[in-house]
Formats: sequence, structure tokens, C-alpha cells
Amino acid sequence: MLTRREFLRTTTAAAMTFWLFGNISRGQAQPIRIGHQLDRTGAVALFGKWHNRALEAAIKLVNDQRGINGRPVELVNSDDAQTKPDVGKDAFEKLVTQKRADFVIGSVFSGTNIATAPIAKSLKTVYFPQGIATEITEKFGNRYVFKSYHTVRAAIEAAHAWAFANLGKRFTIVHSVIDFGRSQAEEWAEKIRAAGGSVQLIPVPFPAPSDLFPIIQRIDLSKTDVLYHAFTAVETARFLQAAFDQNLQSRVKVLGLIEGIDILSTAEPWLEGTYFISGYPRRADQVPEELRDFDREYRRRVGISAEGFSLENPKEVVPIADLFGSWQAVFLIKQAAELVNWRGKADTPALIQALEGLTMPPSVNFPQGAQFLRAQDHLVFHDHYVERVENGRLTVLARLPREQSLYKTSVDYTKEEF
Amino acid sequence: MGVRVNMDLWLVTLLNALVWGLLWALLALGLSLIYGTLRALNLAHGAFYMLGALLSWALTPTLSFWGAILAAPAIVGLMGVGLARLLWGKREHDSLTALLLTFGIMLILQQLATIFLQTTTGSLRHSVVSPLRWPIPVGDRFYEGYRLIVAAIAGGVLAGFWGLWSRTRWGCALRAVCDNRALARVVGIPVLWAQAGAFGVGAALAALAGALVGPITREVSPTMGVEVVLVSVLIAVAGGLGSLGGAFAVAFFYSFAENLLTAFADPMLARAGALLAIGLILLIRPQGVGGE
Repeated sequence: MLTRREFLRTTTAAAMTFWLFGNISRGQAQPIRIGHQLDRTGAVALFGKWHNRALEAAIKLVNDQRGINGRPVELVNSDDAQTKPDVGKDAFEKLVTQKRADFVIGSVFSGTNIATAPIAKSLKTVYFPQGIATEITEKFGNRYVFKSYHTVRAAIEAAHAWAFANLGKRFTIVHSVIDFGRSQAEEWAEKIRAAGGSVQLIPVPFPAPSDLFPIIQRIDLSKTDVLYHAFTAVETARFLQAAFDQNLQSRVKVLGLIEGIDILSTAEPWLEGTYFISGYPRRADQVPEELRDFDREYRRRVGISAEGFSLENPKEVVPIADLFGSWQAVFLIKQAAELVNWRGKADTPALIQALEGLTMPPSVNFPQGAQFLRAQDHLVFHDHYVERVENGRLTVLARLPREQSLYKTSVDYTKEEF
Repeated sequence: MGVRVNMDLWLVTLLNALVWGLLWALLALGLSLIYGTLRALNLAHGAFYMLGALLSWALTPTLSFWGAILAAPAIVGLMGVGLARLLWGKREHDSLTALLLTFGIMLILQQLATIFLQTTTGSLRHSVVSPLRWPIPVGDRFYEGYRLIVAAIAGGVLAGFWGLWSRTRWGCALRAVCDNRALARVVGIPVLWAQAGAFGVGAALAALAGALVGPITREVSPTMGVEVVLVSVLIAVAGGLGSLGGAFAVAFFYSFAENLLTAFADPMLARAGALLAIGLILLIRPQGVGGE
């Protein structure tokens, strides 16, 4: 029979033990913080919203997989990066210095990525920019910057041979002068000239003029097989509508990167028959057979329908391929951190070395398919697709293997000091 | 073939310059009218233009596009009358105060439009669909028939306005207020109402331009008026502030310069070149084309 005194002694000891162990285990399970340099407003705000949702879903999956090295992972959002390089750079700095982010994923705006890269290095924080201007893996990158989704150059490298063989070699490129548009124009022009084709470049100020009719009039159809456009989403829509007024969609082949219409429905007459280079099919039934299980799980977790719309709002198109950049960055961190048993920022150099040259087999963590991260320029290489709008829906015409997107890089970050 | 293509290009470019000339004239005329009667350089003019486009876009599902382009300028015009009565009804303002007041109105209207779009749609930029698809062949090219309808509407409104201005008692009263407010008051003209009416008409003209332009620029957004107000002010100043004929002439000059430079020179330099041409007008004639 337990006396009252013995009962009190035993329960107090038990409570003390639980409290002590609880504190110790809490200390061990200090969360790893992944920061999101998030554009809530400005030209890429819609992308920012969806990248944030993809990050939430990816981090939930990581935590379901027992976190990273047994530690839970936490998402920390930055102040609004506003699609402005200076604001985004400050938001990054605050994320690292005040909100104690261990890694940062973000902004979708290339200008912000370029402004942020030097700060990432000085704060010794691994940064996964989500804009696709080539320069972020070339002259503006550094040892702390990793690109978990393609760049303009990789996409064009992958698709140019297909485009020349199937669409033609006489290009007219109408492009915005911002980094995203200018770098596409430069990459294509080089490829076209090397292939013996001809190219007319028509640069368009940013923001584009209210009326694109006079710009369209500059296109010389007698010298054009392919009309290539390089604008951001709303401007792509305006440009293609203006082209449709001139019946251009039925007179020449119209080509662009999927990023130009990533958040637009394709059920529009001015998109019918146009071609796009993408990193992943928008529609589930166009995804390669061997990736479909992962695709289903990825869509379910992020909230994307089989047709590529939001499950919450069936009218809202989700930039499904673009989100891989954020989703897969989380799993790159997990894979590398577990390889080197990362415990804190002191282990970051080892983590960077583990990331350099990493290969990723297809899985729910890497649903886009098998990939590898080139050590020299820190760029992930994955398959590409050529899609065409047929009866209002994007349909895959060709799958372009990742090896086809390999190009010679001018940098080698592995030689840089940490 | 080459000559024919160039002729087609010239034709569509000149047609387009004519359409935009009429749209700029609607804007600059309103601005000049407001300045003439109130001595206020109305920086809210771009916001009225934006409101016209936004209201027309929002009302189209209910009223149809053609109903919406009637309703939007009427609403904005009435709002303009109310604002003028509220701000100028009790006292007159010097030019600087008036400038700041209209700047404030611009910021408020722009913010209200932002809140409206953010809360109702979650997005600040929206595509506008043309009410009709009517491509008119011009040789190897096409000219959108909707633009010709815009030209007809804008031309009709401008002609109607000109008739009212020059041949009616209302126009006579407005001209008197423009010339000499004190004298106009002495002869029994209700100056405050004339000023409010001019402000309302100016706002309605800007809103009509905005409503008509939506299917041409193919989008509406709360900031769409910012660039427009800068160009309109320059046109009105180069036309000679308060001079309707001057504003009309410079509007066409600007539109032709911009369209021709875009089509035949460099699109990157077109707007800058057209604005430079306006600068040259002011250099030669600092009081503006129709200024005294």
C-alpha cells in the first residue's frame, strides 16, 4: 500500500524526469529553418503565392519523412520582396540575420536573384533562386547559389535542335528588354546563327507599350518561319492577342517558353496552335508513364488538378513545372544534409560539396524525373518537353532528354573559397 | 511587292496614329478644359481614365460592352462634378494647392481601385477581351475593325463637344469662365456650377478614353493611368494650357510621331522620340501651340 508521502515523492520524481527529458529532446530537435524570399506583390506575385504553397507542401512531406537528420523543418517567410531587387535583397538579409533561416529559397524574379547572390555568399547561406535568367548560374552566381530548376539557356539548349528541324530556322524574336526576355533573345540568336538560320530581333521596352499593334507591324513575314516571343505572363497574353489580330498564328509557327503562359488558361483562340518549351507537362495524362505515381502524389500535396488548375479554384492555372524549383530545393537540402549529417552553419561547406554533382533518381521527392546537379555551375539538369496547344489544351509533342540540355559552362564554382 | 508591302505598312500605321490621336485628344481636351475653367492642372486625369477602363470592364458582364462604355463615363463624370463641388465649392485654390489636391485624388482613386480588385478578384491586372473580332484586310496585313469604331465614337464625341463649346449657351458660359471668372460671375453665370460641370465633362472624356482603350491595350490595372497622365499633361501644356484647339493639334502630332517611330525606326526610342518632339514645340513656342 502506497503512503501519501511515497505517492507524492514518486509522482514528483516522474514529473521531473519527464520535464528533464522533454527539454533535452526539445533541444535536440531544434528545427531547421528554410526561408522563402517571397514576392507577395508585383509582377511575379502569383508565382510567389504558388511557390510558397509548394514549399509548405514539401516541408510537410519532409516532416512526414521524419524531417532532416531527425530534426523538424520549419518554413520562414520573408517580408514582401515586392518583385523589386533591392527590396528582395533586404528581405533575404533579414531572413538570415533576424529570422535565422538556415537556407533560403526564392524569389521568382531574376533581378532579385542577381541582387541577392552576393549577400548569400557574404552571409554564408545556401540560396536557391527561382528566376530562370541564365546569368544566375554564370557570371552572377557563386558557391552558395544553386539552381534547382532550369535556366533559359538549358531550356533553349534542349529544344533548339527540335525547333530547327520541325519549325524552321528563320526566326523573328520579339522580346521584352528585362533579363528574362533579353537572355532568351541572345541565346536563340546565337543558336540560330550557328545553325545557318536568320534572325530578326525586335526588342520591346518594359513595361511594354499600351498598344502592341505597331510592334507587330515590324515583323517581316516574308523572312519568318518562327515567331518567338519572350515576355512575362500578362504581356505574353497581350502580345499573342495582338498577333492573333494579324492572323499570325496561322501564318507562321509561334514558339515561346512555357513561363510566358504559366499562369494562363490555354483555352483561348489566340493560343491555339502555338508551341511551348516546358520543363514538365501541365496535364497529368501527358506525363510520362513511369512518373505518373509521383505526379499524382505531387499534385495532391500541392493542390493541383489533373488538368493543371488549383483544386480550390478551378479557374486558377497553377505554374506546375515552375514549382519544382522550390519543391525540389527542399529535397536537395534534405538529401545533402543527411549525407553530411549537417548540424548547423559550420557544416554548410560540407553540404555544398555534397550538393555539387548530386544525382537524384525519380521519386515523390523528385517527381520531375531523374536529374543531376552539375558541380561547376550548380545547375540541375532535367528533361524538357515541347508542347502545343491543341483544341485548347497543351499536348506533348516531344520529350527532350536532360543530356540534350547540357551546355558548356563558363564558370567553375568548385574552385571558389567558401 | 516591296512597294506594296510598304504601302500597306504606311496605311495601317497612319490609321492607327489617327485612332490614337483621337484618344489622346479626348484626354488632352478634358485636361485643358479643366485647366481653363479651374486653373487646376488635373493630375487625377489618369485615375479617371483608369476608372473608366475598370468600370467598363466590371460592368460589361451586366450591361454588355456597349452599355458599359456609356455607363462608365457617366459615373465618372458625375463623380467629377461631385469632387469639384466638394473641393472648389467653398473656396478657390491657387495652382499649387490645386495640383496637390488633384494629386491626392489620384492616389486615393488608385488605392481604392487596388483594394477593389484585390478583394474581389485577388489579382491587380486583368485581361480585356475585344467586344468584336473584325479584322479588315489591308493588303497583306489586317486592321482591327474595333479600332475604327473607337475612332468613330471618339471623333463623334469630340465633334459633339466642339459643337456644344462653340454654338450653345453652355459653351458660351464656359468660355466666359475660362476668359474671366470675375466678369462671368458679374454677368450672372453660375461659375461654381460651370467649373464643376467642366470638371465632370473632363473626367467623363478621360473615362470614355479609358473605356474605349481597354480592348486595344487588352488589360486593366490600377496603375494604367500613371503613364497616360504624364503624356496627357505634356500634350496639354504643349498645346497651350486651356487651349482646346492646341491640345487637339498636339495630341495628333504626338500620336503620329509615336506610331511612325515605332513602325519605321526603333520601338525602344519611339516614346522618347515623340516626347522629345513635344519638347521641341515648347522650346520653339514656350506658351504652347494655342497659348497666348
